[in-house]
Amino acid sequence: MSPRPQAADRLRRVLAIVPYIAARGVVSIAELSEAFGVPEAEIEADLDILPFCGLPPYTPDRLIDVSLDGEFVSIRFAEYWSRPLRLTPAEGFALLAAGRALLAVPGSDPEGPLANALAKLEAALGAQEVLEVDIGEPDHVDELRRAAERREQVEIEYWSFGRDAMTTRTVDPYGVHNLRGHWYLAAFCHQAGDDRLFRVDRVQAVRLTGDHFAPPTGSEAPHDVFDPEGETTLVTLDLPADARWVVEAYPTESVTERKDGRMEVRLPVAARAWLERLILAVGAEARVVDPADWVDVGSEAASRVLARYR
Amino acid sequence: MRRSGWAPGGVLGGGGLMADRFERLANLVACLLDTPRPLSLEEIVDRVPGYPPDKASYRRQFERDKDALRGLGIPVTVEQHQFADEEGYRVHRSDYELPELDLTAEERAALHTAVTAVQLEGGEGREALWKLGGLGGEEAPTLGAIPSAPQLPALVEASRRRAPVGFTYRGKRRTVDPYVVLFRDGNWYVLGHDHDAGEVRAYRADRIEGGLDVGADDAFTRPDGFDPAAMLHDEPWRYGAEPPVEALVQVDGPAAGWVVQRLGHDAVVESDGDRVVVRFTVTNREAFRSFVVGLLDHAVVLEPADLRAEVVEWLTAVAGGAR
Repeated sequence: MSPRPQAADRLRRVLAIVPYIAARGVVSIAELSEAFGVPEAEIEADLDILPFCGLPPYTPDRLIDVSLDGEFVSIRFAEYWSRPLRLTPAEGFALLAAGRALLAVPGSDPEGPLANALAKLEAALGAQEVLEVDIGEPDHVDELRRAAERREQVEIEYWSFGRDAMTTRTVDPYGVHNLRGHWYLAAFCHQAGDDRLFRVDRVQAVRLTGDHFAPPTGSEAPHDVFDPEGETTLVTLDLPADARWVVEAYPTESVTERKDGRMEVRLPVAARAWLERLILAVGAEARVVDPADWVDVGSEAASRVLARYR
Repeated sequence: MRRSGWAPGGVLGGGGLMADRFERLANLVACLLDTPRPLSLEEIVDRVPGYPPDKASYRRQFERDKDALRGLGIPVTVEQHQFADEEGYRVHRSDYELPELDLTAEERAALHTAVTAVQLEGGEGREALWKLGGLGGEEAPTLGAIPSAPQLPALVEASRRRAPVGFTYRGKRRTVDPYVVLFRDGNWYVLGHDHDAGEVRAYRADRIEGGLDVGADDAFTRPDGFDPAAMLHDEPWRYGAEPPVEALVQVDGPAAGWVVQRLGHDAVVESDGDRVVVRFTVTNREAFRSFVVGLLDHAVVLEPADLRAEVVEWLTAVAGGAR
């Protein structure tokens, strides 16, 4: 029989609730529900079970005494739980990571309450300068965020990396988000006639059009990054063994390893320029198997780049 | 030897197995915190109701309970028992209790905002806030999401304790003094002195295979002048041990603006409309080559001649496939 997670999970919460009440003397159930982010019924269940806990010989003066006066609760005989349990490594990491990340957002106050809270936390944990977060500060983050807040339509010069093409787009910016270390602009794109996610570091210029837009109705901002144009082609590559990073870096449809160590990899490709980059990085040992009209993608790209060196 | 008293959960609680187990665990924590000396296993099962009568069973049960408590972060220590010739268990309150942080309501609210604004994959920020005085203040709209990796909390903990860590990375065993854990370009890295390589290396936390072996505390000091901020700006072409080479690259077209953002405005040597010349400090020629050829015909390596020749040779080999 493995340990029952429900019992341990409940204990984890109770070991925080008891000191919370102890520090305040008398607390309402509603306040506890809000402070712990669980329904009042859960808090009541936690409090119901406590009077059966305590110290030997489990006589009334040794059992935890929970008094409920209408909505209000107080606790006696739990002096050993008067302070919360120290933070676990996972909890300390979660606070430091989220706090340092938010502090790294352009426009955050480096001497505000968050910075002070982190300094106190790191001092108490003895964890100064142990964790650092860099989420990048592309040039137009602040500008686009302000435009989104004011619901101002903008025209952007955008470099589509996958297609290696520069385009001018009129967009209604919904918001700017950092996903996995990169800044994205979620917006309605008038050229595409649909919601799109743009990489902020590929935005070369931002101009206000002077128009305002109505807030988006109902639909969430798009959460997946997608290429402004959409369609993909399924490509089969024959790659050398040392190109395993390709499989780790990009989503693949299938990977077949051969006895000689080479791999046959099928993956969706959004644009020819993207595949050109991939093959130039892997080198002469990479071959396109399918589709047939893309077999020479790499050699043609290499010849084009070489022309710049002559 | 066995206690005859009543089992509070079983008799009075009546809440079923979960309640039984909850009560036994809660009573065990209280008992181990309250005791002024280590308690032997027999003393524990004698004091805490709910353990089965035969020795093999209660020992197993206690081991599971001890693991559950440690899983919650409760520091159950094993010490020599005063009288009995066996091990005793206890929880020192000084190790158990959260130190006083003196957070203001505003500071606590700021942490709550951070935990809600930044979605950390599998993060336990809410549970942490329970201990710091509850989830006070407004929830913030999501501003970002960052990934996690199983070994990150342990790496931060080891870095905090200045304890070396051992792990398997790309099939090779590594021992590293973890100076800092950092997030950059979408990935978490542990950065520190690699005992075998004899230099500072960076390893991706999500590529660590299996668990960590954590060595003794206070086994290293971070050298003076170690600047994680400078390492933060390191790029793939800096992750290497080759002698540093200054390379000049001309970039034009739409790629120019992006490269300048990536390298920082300080790296720009010349700027002429859509065409820039930027400086790279290269200690990993392969990564440099991959980056530059990835810019396709928008980038040309100008200097030094041998690096330029390497890129040309590489491209010529790829072009040769055209026949």
